[in-house]
Amino acid sequence: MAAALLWARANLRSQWRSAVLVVLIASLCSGVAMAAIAGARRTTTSFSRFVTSSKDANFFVAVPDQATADLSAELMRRSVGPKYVDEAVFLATRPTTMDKSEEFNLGVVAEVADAAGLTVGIPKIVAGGLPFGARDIAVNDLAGERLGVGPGDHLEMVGYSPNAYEACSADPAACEPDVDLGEVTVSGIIRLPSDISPEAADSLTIVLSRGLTESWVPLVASQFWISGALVESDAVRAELATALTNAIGPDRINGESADVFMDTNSQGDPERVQSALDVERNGLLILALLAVLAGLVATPQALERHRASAAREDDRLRALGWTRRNQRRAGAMWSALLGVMAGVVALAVAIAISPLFPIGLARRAEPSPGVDADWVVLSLGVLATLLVVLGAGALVSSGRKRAQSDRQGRLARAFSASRPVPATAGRFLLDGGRMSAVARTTLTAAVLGVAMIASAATVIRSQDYLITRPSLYGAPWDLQGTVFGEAPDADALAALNADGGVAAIALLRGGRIEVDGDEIGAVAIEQLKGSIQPTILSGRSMNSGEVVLGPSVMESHHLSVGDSVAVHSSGASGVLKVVGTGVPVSVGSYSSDVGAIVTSSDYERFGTAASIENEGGLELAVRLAPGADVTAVRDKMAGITGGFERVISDSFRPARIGNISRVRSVPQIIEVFAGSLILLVLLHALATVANRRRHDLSVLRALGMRPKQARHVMWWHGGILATLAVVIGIPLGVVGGRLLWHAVTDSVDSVYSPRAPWALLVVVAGGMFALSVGTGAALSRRAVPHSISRLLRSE
Amino acid sequence: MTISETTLDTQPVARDLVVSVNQVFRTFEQDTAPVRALRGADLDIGRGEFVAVMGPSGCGKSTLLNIVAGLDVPDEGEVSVAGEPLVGKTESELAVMRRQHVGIVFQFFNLLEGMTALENVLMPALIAGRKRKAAETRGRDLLDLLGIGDKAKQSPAALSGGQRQRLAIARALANEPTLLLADEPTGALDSEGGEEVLELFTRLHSGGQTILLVTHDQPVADAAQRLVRMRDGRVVDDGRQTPGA
Repeated sequence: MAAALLWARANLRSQWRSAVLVVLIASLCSGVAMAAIAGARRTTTSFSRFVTSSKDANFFVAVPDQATADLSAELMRRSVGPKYVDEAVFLATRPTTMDKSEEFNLGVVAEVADAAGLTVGIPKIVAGGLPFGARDIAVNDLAGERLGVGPGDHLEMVGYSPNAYEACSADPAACEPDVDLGEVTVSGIIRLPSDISPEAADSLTIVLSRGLTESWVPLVASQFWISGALVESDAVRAELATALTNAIGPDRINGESADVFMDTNSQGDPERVQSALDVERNGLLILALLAVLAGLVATPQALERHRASAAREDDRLRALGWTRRNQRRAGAMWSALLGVMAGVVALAVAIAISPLFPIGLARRAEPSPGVDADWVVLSLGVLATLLVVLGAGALVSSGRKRAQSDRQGRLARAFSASRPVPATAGRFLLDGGRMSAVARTTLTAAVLGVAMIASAATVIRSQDYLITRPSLYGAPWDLQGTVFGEAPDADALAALNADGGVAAIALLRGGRIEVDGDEIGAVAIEQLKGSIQPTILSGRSMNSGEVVLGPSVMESHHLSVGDSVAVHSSGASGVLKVVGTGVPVSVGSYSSDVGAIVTSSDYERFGTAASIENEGGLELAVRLAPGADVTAVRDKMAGITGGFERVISDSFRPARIGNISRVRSVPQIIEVFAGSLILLVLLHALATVANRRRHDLSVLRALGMRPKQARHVMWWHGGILATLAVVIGIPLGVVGGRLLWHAVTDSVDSVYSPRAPWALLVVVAGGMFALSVGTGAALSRRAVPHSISRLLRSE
Repeated sequence: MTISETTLDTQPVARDLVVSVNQVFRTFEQDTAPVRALRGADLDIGRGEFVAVMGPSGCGKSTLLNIVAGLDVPDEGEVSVAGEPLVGKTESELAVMRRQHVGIVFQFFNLLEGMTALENVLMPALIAGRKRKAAETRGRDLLDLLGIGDKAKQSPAALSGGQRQRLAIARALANEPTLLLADEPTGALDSEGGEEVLELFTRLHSGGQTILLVTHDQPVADAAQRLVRMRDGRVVDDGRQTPGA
């Protein structure tokens, strides 16, 4: 034991640099894994904690006047108590937007009470504070970003008088605010439940202090008033709904028709939020898995390099009677010491990078972002780190030395033909004719690192490509708008048809169709000009008598392309042949479960007419010709769609696609992690080589090699390692990234269209080369001592 | 012209100086106290001479050899090899001087273990910028000459001590050096291996090779033509002797 302790102490003294790098490599992997797992746990709970901390109303009544709002609020107070009952007024002001296009600037202004417990609807204060001052407002972070303001900044606001608002409502071109509301101060940046919703996270909100609200209400047109309450019991909610319906019916409010709605789902569609959070959690778990795998590969290898640099000492100790058992015991003690150090550093790494997590929507929802310590994960992580290092140490010390060959292998011969500097650098990869433990372990870790970067870059590039091309996930056209009425206006359609900027026009009719006994949402495509085909994942587009089904329908009905399905409507029955799997796009705002695409003639025969109730609609889809004047085409479309046409690339982003765009930071973190791992591994490897090959370099100096040439050997050595890592790692990573992307596109029903990030890969290759050669250069002075005579005197 | 013609069969020529060491001082800074390894050493060696430097441990003989080899630099004094003054030269210039004029044989061989025997011999020639083909021809000839031609493709680790030292000598001769330096060349060998090496040095000397050998072993020193004794960093005795006497 005493000898083992002495050995460990001596090891720490002589090998501390190598030990530090082993600890850093193990702790980097372990720390990233811990932080990612803790982040995944925070992701899972972020939304529920956000909702809990928000004390937000979940039951609303929107009415056109303050009197009804007050009445509603009073009923709510009686029902649920004074806590969490709130009133808000939506005023017509600038600058804020009510719609998302910023073309129609109407203010969305809510009131905030200054009494404790009444700050309903303000779940998260991102910066600054709530608007309690006489001229205070708070803005949500998107509004703050768009308006370029933060806490303490001032805004000049204007509003619409009732007359101006009425004129504006009738004709958007006539929108001109006519009330000067003066300067207000931004008290803080807030986040609301609507900011968390995956599909509504782009609305701008301004919240006024009570005083400001009261002074503006008489001046500015109010759109509607909202009373809200947090109702936790379903029974109370039902009672309250009945009481409100009875109390504020249309006849009770001065003969005016009250626009009453009750919204019991104010949290931005929890199911959609949860599904987005699941994607983010899975992304973080993939990151954790990769970090664990990298740790399991890199840690034993770092220990093997560490052992290689101390192997000579072991032989000498053996000559003094040191047994293999002694060696194993001392090795275990040493590994335990390194494991404990790695665990402690990993803990620090995990806590230090915890502010990076969670990501995406969970980050927006997270009530307390910043440094976080999940002690369950951290404790288990530290223990796992210790066990991995101990296990790796045992694995390395139990590994038998590979027999050295007296003859030089093929690899050795490959380097013998070159000039002295590269030949020596190449030979430094070898030990006894075979690849040395140092070179082998370094190459494995560097290849893994480069492959991870190439993989992540392939995913990011493919993701960027997909997100900007709606045609790959269901909308292979450029403009879309709801057709008002039974059919498009004939004159407007003729004008649109005649526009040279329009390449194709189709009518999309949404409805329902019964397939193999199940009624599912369907969309029929009627070609009006040119040809617009649906997004096809496999097979081909349909003709008459054929159907393209969505992946979920294919799976739930166990269908394959080429099968036939029975279709049925009240008027007819028949059979359609399945010719492809496609991405059926929703028509109108209601079709969430569209699963079939048919021709318009088949729809006429087998479809059920669309209506709001049964989730249908009629939309016009337009594909533009190259170089088309979009504004001119939109103007012509407006004759059919009433000005509500939208540019697909700006507006069509299904939640499943939005979800993957929000986990973009995961591959980016993987790139940074892999880059750091490569840096540490190269540093360790080249430091080990510099240490082990000092003697050889001194011999070469004695044989006439200039100091510069001897240093260049280390440069070359780094360059050869980088070249091998890049040549093997990049193709491996690209293939891995493509496979991963295939799995992603399958899961989000989009066309598999991988993109290779060639420019980035060139940068990665160049960066890897520069890093490796640079590290070699930095360590070359250590490898080539100024005084070589003394080194050559000892063996 | 073959190696035997150029190196071994040429008779010693008239005494023109290959090595000139004049009042050389060298002190090493140690943690405890400075070590004055050389305190005014003087030594001249003519072309074709075989000189052995003897003395007790710590007398400065290896330091003197390192300074002559350009592996170390004196604090004071003049040193020249083949007429080239070494003092004031940069590390790089000293390396070039070694390529042209000096071959070194170490006590512990200092062979490059990752390379074959032949590659070890090729390396100095390649470093000196010779064509690979010519270097390889000479390397093979040297290995044949030193009796290890059949070991050309083997790793140094596979050779016996005597063979390893012969390989080191072959490597030292690769660039046809003006001066062959040997630091305790038999120190790591058994008696048989030591005799082989000494016989080789004698053959090289008889072929005209200038040799400076450092040893503390009298039988080794006896093989030399001239024996220089050192003590306390100075040359205290410099006399010719009959080799083998």
